[in-house]
Amino acid sequence: MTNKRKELEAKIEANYQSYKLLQKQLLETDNFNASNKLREIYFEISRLRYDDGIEMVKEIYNL
Amino acid sequence: MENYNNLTIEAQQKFIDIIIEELQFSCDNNDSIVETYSDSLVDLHHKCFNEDYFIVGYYEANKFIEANFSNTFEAIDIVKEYELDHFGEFITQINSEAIANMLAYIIGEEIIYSIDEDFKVDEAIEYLKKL
Repeated sequence: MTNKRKELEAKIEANYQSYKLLQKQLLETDNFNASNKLREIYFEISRLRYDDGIEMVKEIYNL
Repeated sequence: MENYNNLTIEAQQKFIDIIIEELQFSCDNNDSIVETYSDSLVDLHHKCFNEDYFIVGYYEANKFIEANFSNTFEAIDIVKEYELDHFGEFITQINSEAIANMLAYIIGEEIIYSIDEDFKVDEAIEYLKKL
């Protein structure tokens, strides 16, 4: 596995863990702030897709 | 740009105005998008739809959803699909204010990612005005 691939996997996992940490707040009725934080995670994911090549990111997502 | 095209003219104009305002505020007309935003379209999208709220308050959020989607479920489905695409699950509690702002983020992405990143800012603005 290349270093780039390992790095990408780690970043994707970190984003997913951030999402997991938010879950409790997202499940609450008043989740406006959590929802804003969720969009920050989406932004990180978009940045990853843009910077590191969509194909490799897709491949990792498909695992 | 299916979601954008289904919006009312008024809502479409609001999206376009937000993006044009940001471009005019942050750039010179002869700059390219790439020169201005370090991560190109991703950063432009973030600036327009993450750094400020598109809609504040449940009343405004409900009005936006009712005016632009055939029913509330359609609006929820768009947000649900997006979360499923990213995380393989959908857990967010339904809340009109959060849904409306998430819709703005998703639709903003549709519009901004349709811009050619090699465009100069004035070309991008012309493109946006024609949408």
